Amino acid sequence: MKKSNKTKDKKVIMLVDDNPDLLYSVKKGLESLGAYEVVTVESGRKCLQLLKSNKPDLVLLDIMMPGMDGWDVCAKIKSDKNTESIPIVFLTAKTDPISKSMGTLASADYITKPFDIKVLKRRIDSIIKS
Amino acid sequence: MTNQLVTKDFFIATINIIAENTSFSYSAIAINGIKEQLSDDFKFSKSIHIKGHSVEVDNNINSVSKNELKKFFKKIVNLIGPNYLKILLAQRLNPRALSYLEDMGIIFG
Repeated sequence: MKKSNKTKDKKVIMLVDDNPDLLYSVKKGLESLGAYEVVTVESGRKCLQLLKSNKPDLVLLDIMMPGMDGWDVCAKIKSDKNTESIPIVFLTAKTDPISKSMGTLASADYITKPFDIKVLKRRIDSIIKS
Repeated sequence: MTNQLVTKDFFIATINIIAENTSFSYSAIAINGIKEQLSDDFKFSKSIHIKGHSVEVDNNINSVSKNELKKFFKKIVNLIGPNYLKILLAQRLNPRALSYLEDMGIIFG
């Protein structure tokens, strides 16, 4: 896990994706906008391990990852009493309408790649505020 | 065909359709979430028990009116995605269950 300097007032976003370039750019982008502390995680399994001792304000979750995919990670998070309330936003290259529709059945939102970092921030803002 | 059998067939087909596009564990979470969301408006949804891939429906659902059951199924279909779900359900449902649902007024196109 790569973690930025802790800032007490900032909400914490856990970003889960197997693509290191995306982890870097989204973390950099969101943190440069000043609103969030972003914790990056490279796999679904590591995400679940970390959630045993950390409770982020929101999880940004890639769907297509080796090992455990985002659908199963989401199901594990939502079936655990300790983590079920954490909002999940799928970040994915899957743009077909079926995946989009399926993606919002158990998650807070579904955002397709590529995305504008400001649009992503606005979506996160609205979910966290609600 | 009875409400009990058609409800079981409907849920099994729906869970399978969602699972084929996601995963079985996600599908079960999603469908239980939808059922929970509708539980205030449709008290009889408590008679439907979903655990993993398995669906059991209590026989007291047979006393629910077809009109009420129709509203329930329509809500689920609309929440998941009416266009493609109807097409896929029409392909997956037992023909007798499909005909029972069509008699209720659910049009599968």
